[in-house]
Amino acid sequence: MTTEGNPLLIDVDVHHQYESIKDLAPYLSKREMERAYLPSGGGRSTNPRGVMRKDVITPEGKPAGSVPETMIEGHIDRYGIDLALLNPGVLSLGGIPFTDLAVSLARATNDWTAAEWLPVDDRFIASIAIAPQDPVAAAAEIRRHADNPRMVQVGMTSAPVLMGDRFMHPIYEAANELKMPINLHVGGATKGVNLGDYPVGQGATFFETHIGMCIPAIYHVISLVAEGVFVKFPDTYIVLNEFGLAWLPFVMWRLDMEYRASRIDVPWLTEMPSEHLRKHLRFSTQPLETPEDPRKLVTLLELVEAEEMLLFASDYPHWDFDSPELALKGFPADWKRKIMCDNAFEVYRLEQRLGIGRRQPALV
Amino acid sequence: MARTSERKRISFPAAELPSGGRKVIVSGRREIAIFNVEGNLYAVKNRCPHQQAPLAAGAVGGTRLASDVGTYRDGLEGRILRCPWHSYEFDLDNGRCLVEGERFRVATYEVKRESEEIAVYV
Repeated sequence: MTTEGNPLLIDVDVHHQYESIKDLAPYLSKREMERAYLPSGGGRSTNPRGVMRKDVITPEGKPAGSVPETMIEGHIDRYGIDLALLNPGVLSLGGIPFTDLAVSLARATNDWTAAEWLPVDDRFIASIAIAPQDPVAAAAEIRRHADNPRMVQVGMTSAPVLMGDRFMHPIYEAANELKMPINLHVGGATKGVNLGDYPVGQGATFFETHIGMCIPAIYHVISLVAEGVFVKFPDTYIVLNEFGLAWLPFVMWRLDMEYRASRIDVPWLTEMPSEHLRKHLRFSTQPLETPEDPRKLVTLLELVEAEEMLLFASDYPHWDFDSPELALKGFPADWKRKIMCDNAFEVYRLEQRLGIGRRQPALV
Repeated sequence: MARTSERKRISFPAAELPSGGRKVIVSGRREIAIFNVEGNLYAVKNRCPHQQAPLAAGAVGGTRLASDVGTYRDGLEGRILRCPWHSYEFDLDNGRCLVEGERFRVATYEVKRESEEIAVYV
């Protein structure tokens, strides 16, 4: 019997949303607002049956995720979530061809988050949206929020090159300096000028393309290891958000296998690739590729000692939302504590940033 | 299923559930979602067997039946309820999911029009 209280419940993927891009007007110059748009396209990776949960009803029919009070009542309070990490619903930011427009929209999105969401509820924390099209401007945008402890992560929804590519390193340098993780969230690869998820054809049904959306994460993980990102930037993590995770054992074992033969290509690695990943790679738990017996998924993850690599995420208010009450059915209690609380405290340095403990006070 | 004499009858005016509508009633701790699909009445437990989503918020319509590769056969119009979260499809007639029907089966209840009322037997 423990004397400590209940672990907090941290949800690392909640989407807040503009009603329309005009919401950014207070944070953009007049010229910038005139030019502002978010590319459409990416239809092949958009659920034809709707992107949002059908039971999220907001006042005046505004888009799901655009009204803080609805989110608080329907999700944060409903499930007793102690901290919700807001990732802005701007999947196409990284696909905008006009670099300076993308940079200004990222900046304005962060100003909007800080002014209109963070003050509403102490349980909100947020990602700093960046436009990876310009890594130097992105680095400056990251550093601009250094003094806001509730901005806990750098967020992007696509990368213009493989994530390990040295083109991206200024972003990692800034995040590393602030000891902040970098989050790649799924969904931007098919938007705007981005190249898509598959190098070979695009898929003919949403059934396929939704699975295909997780494939780029595999390319990015291999690249991050190969280019020594985890060696060069040891104080950061890469968080893969909504790419699934049951493919992790394949990637870890295959990387180690290649390293034994071709170490000469990557002499800067200081340990086995799987160790680099265990230390620096993290996954949100949504969606989980759960088989009929969920313990089989736990067994798979035990094989690569992944219990500290997982961070609970709901993906509210999207259609593939995972309920905090049921998503981790079949997981042992100590895994659940780590996944729903302790791992997030480590990755986001929540004790240091927010001055909170990871357990609620025990009832006397 | 309990014998008729042991089942509870819950009723409400038929005017409260016109065609195209849906209604949630409560029996003890159970919520039951009732649908009127062009006069056909269906009642299912208002909790998806997958992750307990409120099925009453789901879309009701038809679906695509089994067909040859590259062809489509629409059918079961007005019989299929799609969960508002992960889009699992349930046949309102028997509660079976169209994929792994026994594994994901939602409870159904007898529901019928009785003169000016709609009655559900739980």
